[in-house]
Amino acid sequence: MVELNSIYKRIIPKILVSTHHKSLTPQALTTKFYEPFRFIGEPESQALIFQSNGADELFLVNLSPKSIAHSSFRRIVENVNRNIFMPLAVGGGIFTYDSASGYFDLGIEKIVVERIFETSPKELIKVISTFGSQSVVGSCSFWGDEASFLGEVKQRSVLRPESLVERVKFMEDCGVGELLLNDVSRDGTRKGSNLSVLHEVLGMTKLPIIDSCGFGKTSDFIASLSLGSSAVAVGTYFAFVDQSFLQLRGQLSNHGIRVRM
Amino acid sequence: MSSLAASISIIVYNLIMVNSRLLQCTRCLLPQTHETIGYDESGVCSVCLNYNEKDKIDWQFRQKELFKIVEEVKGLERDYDCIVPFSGGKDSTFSLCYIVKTLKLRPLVASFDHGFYRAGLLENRNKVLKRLGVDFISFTPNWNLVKALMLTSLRDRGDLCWHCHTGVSAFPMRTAIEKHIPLVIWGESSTEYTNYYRTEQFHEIDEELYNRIANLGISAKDMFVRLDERFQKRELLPFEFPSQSEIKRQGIRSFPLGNYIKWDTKSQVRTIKDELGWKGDNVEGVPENYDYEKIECMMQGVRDYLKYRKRGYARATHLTSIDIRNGSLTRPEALEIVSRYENVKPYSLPLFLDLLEISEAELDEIISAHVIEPWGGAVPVRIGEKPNDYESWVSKLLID
Amino acid sequence: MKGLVGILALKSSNYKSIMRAFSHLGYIPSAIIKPKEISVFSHIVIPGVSTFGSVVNELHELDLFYDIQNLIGTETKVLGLCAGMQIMGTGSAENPQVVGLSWFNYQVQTLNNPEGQRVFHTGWNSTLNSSDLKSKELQECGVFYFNHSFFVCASDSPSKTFTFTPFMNNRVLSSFQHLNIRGIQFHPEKSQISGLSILNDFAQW
Repeated sequence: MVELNSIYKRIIPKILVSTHHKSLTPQALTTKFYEPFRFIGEPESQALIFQSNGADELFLVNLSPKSIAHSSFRRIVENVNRNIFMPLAVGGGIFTYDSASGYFDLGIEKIVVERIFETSPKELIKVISTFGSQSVVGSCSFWGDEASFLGEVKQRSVLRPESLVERVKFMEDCGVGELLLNDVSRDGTRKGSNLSVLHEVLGMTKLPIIDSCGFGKTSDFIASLSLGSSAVAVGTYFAFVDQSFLQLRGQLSNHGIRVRM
Repeated sequence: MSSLAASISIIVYNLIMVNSRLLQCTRCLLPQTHETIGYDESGVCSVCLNYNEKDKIDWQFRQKELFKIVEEVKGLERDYDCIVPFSGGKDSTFSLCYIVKTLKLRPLVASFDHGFYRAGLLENRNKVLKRLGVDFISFTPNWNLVKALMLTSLRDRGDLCWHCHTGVSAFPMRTAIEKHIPLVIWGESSTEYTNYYRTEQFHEIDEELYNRIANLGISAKDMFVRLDERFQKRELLPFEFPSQSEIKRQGIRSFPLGNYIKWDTKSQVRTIKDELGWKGDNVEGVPENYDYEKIECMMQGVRDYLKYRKRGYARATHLTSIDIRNGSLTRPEALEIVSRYENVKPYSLPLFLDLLEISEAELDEIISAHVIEPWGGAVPVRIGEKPNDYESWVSKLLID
Repeated sequence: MKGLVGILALKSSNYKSIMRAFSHLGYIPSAIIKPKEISVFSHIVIPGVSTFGSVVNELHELDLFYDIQNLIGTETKVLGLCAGMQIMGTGSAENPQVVGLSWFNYQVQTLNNPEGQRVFHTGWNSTLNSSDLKSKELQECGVFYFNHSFFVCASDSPSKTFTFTPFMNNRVLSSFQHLNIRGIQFHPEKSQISGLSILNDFAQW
């Protein structure tokens, strides 16, 4: 059965890293509304588990670049990358060509960037011209619900949905290879991802879209992937649900979603 | 049970299943919420399909391969030829019997004591170990840590048994490394019940399996973090599977006996009953004629109950499905049995709630977050029978 | 038989990942930075994560271009991955001024959708056989990780037998083998078990 666009849908575990409040060492955690929620393990160990479970790809994100400098985070990236044989995307505080290239030197596949579109898009264009569009994921965090809690979401450039359109176009013009959509109002809530925004963005661009934030049940994955997202990036789900990666894929496949088995 | 009561329980069972729109295999009874299941065009599940694969295998060839490994190991002339991870249940008992009597290896029998072994099981162990004449070591972890692990595992995975899954996998491997023992031989292959591997694959018990099946996606290092660093890192070591490189460096091989001999539970149980005096026992939620199944653990009833709450099926479905596959039960017969034994709350539930110091309402809240779609997480109303050795559980567990 | 595998240490590539993959498989990979190192190896890998132009320019900067170019038809087995495979052709729409190794007569084209817009082939996809190919692994392990927006058309394959992957209305050449050269468009070092067996197969060749 050869379809025109026969690519498999991807399920991408997100490993978020921040400084642990007790030990002051970088540990993996889950978030809620982008605030630290619970520390759940070691980044290297979690990566190895996802490797053993045959994950499609991995996101490794530094949530506190102010306390975890690039030099320290590179060590974590290196330790993670050493044991995995799947695409790795790294994000968190990447604003310059040099910091990006420092990560690419370690052999990662992509970087995930967001605030660079506000602070220094020229640096990003330099990265893209050296490493190619397919090595950059443009991330977009927005607050999807009516009430505006933007003031409470510290240090994150969280957009209103209206500004999304401009941002998506800008990212596309800069030459990113993929889009990552994050509805912060759903982060860590497990009440499903924002399908209306996904639908809108799907109508705007042909770039592959990675849907993130809010996945809590199998039906959430089915809804997003059926609607047209190319991949889902998932943090909380794997941390707290008794459903391993393999089990989830089996369930999705049973519902007709084209996933790797 | 009277035939009227039996009919009623079948009707109730069917109602629940239809209501939940849970897809079930058309051959056995496994629902779509079973881990690693898929269905073919006629609705037959992958576990059924994979089951027939066992017959296609050249077991004679495999047994010869096993004998080759045995000869190699004997040639090394170590203090022990192998480690046999042992609980005293039917599979590890049969394994040990086969290793001693047929393979004539010198084993070090190693048991990880999770804290919940039943009296009948301990009697079996005593008998079996003495009759076979083997060296035996056991490890019991810190009880306070165990309770903390149970609670964390329950909260994060809806499963109480992280410490057992990981300890049972890790302890024999750590011992093998410590004592330079070149071989670890386990019992049945995981392909007996799940599809994490295909039957014809010679899967090893290694870090990948630990990460795929045993540790629920949480390593010992991760658990140290999840316990909010209330315990020291070194206290979690007994649950940590050795790294692949450590195992490779010593050249340790670790595999299930079920890779090399055709697993036949019923005949194996007959063997250990006849030759070693092994005895079965009653288990909460398990039909009486399966008295060989899961007799080790006091928590079995509660464990299966949690599985039912999350996935809509439990031990009876699992066992009768096996018997459908091997031809000893028809599907309607199996359905009748399942309708009587599942959807029942175990008698021992209050004991474990007491032990973990949580209320039933708190347990329900935790479980509701772990229900697998499309199962609705129905709460059973009936309460099961009191286990025959229940009083000894109370005195062993509630020591305060 | 485990041999020495040399991987060109190009900055615009993920050669370290490829080295790790070979180490994991039990081989002894080495990074090649100087032309004279080339002759040491029985197997050489040309990696490539970035653009056609970056790879070719770097080969020139390191003085490797012509020594590599001379490898065709020799005893040394060469594997080109992703951009490393693309540069084996004559040129690319990605960087029109740049000339490739020109071992094969193909031009790398832009991946377009039916409306003529540029698209990215990013993710896991199946490879299909044109007919029998020497490497057994390519027939059995058919799902790999792709990440590119420029491609070689399957009809331009240097070999009669090859694998291809349909994407939008394009037929992407996924792998081929001609003389002592193997070209692979996807990333075996990022393709979990199926990818690792491709690399193993190459090292055994």
